[in-house]
Amino acid sequence: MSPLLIAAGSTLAAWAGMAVLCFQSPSQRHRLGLREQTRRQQQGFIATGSALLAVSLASAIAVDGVSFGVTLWLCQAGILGLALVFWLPYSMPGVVRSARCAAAVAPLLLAAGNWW
Amino acid sequence: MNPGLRHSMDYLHTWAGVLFSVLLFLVFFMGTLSVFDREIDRWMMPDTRVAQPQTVSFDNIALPHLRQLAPDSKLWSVQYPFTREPVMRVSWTDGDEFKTRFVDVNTGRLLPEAGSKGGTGFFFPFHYSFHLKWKDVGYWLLAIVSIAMMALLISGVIIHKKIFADFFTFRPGKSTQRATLDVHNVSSVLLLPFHFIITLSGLIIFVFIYMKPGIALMYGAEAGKLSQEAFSQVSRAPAKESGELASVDAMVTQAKAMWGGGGVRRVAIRNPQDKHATVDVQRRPHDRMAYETHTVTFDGANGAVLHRQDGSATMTVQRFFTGLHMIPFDHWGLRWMYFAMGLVSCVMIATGMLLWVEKRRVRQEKEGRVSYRMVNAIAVAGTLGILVATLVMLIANKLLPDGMPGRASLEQWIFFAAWLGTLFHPLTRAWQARHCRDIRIAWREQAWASAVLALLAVALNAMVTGDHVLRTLPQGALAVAGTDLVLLLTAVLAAVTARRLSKRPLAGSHGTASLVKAAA
Amino acid sequence: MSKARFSWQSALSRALIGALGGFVLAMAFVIGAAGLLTVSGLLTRADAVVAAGMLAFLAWTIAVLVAFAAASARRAAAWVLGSATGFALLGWTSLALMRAA
Repeated sequence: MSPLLIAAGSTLAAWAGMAVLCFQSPSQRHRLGLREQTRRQQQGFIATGSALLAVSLASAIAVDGVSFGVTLWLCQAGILGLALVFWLPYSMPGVVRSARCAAAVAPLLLAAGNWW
Repeated sequence: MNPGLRHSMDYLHTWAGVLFSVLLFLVFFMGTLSVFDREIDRWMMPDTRVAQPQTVSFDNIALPHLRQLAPDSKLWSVQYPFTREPVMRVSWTDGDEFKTRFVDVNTGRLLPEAGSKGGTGFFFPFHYSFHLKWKDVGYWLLAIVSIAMMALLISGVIIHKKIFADFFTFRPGKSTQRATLDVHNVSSVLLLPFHFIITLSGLIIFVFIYMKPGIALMYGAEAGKLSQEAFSQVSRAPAKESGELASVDAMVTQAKAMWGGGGVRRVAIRNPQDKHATVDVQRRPHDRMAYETHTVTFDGANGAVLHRQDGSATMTVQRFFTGLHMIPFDHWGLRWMYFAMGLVSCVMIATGMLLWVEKRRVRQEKEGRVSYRMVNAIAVAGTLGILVATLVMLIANKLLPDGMPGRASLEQWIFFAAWLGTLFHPLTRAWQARHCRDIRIAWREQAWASAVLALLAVALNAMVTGDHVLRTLPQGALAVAGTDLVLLLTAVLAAVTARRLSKRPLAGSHGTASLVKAAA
Repeated sequence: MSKARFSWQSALSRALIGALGGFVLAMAFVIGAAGLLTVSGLLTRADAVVAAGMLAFLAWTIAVLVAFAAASARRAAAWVLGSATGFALLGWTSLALMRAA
């Protein structure tokens, strides 16, 4: 197991998850000039975002154990959330692109980290 | 929600914030620096920039120095080197004083007196006691500030009407007040678990101090017994006969075997010259969250095990919160997270202050009142001023001559003098006719000063010690390199802040309802 | 901007009730909770005091919130000091039972 690859995968999964949860917020979508979502679409976003965060948490625990893993994950989620919030008003396309890349790369890193 | 409750919590949040903001900023700023207090020690005490030793021997390295420095002391304490601090700390009591010297374990050499309190001796105690030692006043002030912080956090959640809807709200293009409020909200809400836990855990660390009256009522005349019972400590009265210490290295080896591995944090010897000397060997809690040292106590004369510390479940919880706050473990990722979150907490507090000052300015200018200028001056000194004073102290650390008597104290006084200066500066600016309407001038100037001072500190470190980033990074002297890099980043951020403050016009009195977006 | 308007006397008395009254409540909580935990045999004396001490900070914080949330300063004092009296009685009873045992 490669702790570094799994930790990186955990961080990217958290980034993608936070971005998805951010984009399900109706007030946030309104501010960004995005179209309103249906209830089903919003629920889909919430489920996807939560799943990504759950994967991120599970990987953090796999690397560092429960105490360190949960603590690191909470801290990481907070810091990444702040980075997302402060970046978004300046470049929404940048955030969207980075979140899509993160969602694509995270599983690869986690898989690679498990088989290393 | 009951509008009466929200309004009363709004009142509490506003006024508790106003009254405690400077002290809170101090606690969080010094706490943030304390995350890397050992690294700051390396930067401020160049003699301690030594290589990590491979083996450590108490008998061969610490004991000869202690016998020479403190032959009659009742307590010897030796902190073993570890990854963040490659030197050995030998300490002893001398009357009421607790003295410390450093030893280079690689050569056995006693290092010259540091001439500086460094991060561990200045920034860290500032964080938990404000350097107010008389009758524990500093600890009690911290308690009041911490309870105020808890009340601020909870009242802040209550008054934030759309806390979930506004979770990701940040509108930099809106008015200064709106953008500042967004930054304040976002930094508080996203790190709410951190703020709450770090404040509560800070209180829990000092539970034995803060709950003294309650403890006295429970224990009566035996109040002193609580620490012994809770920490499972053992003490032995001196025999008042002289005795020889057995091999402490052998005791350390035995303790390590009992722990099943792990390093030594500290060895403490009580009554070292007495027949009834006791040797406490503490394990370094590098691999777990709880700050548990699993102390093994030995008979100093013959090395027999007298006691092995076993924590109860309740004490494990108390030690867990202690570890969560003080990060004794080896985890660089978490350590940097705490540093980042500490800085965000400072931003949260500073933006709260800014909001209050801005609201007062807009209202008072209409009424022709000027007391907001005093509040603004306190806000400047209580935020940027602390940064300026810290940087001035780091510069003094490089400029004051080595070996100068009272050097460490003089460094501290320079900090406080600089801090006072950062209060006089905005007051002076506020009453100069050409600046009296621009309350940002003091903020801008202190931000520029911070940028210059941070660069100067890095330059002086290179000139005085020869250690600069291009040399320390390849050498792996990451403590010094990291401190220099953080100082360089501070300079950049301070300069960016100063430029942004120059660009954005004030709302209200200058007739602008909304602000022009800052140039990218 | 805060819409609640307390007179300075009311604000000062609420602050004192929260800070000082809250501290009294915290101490009373310690002896009440620790006494109960000890006499019930759930924890040793030392552990009971430490456990109660850790929770007492929450009691102190709640006292500060109640001090400002209450309809009047008088009511705030009644809540805070009344609760403190309750915990103190609980503690006194527990200590008496411990001495009797």
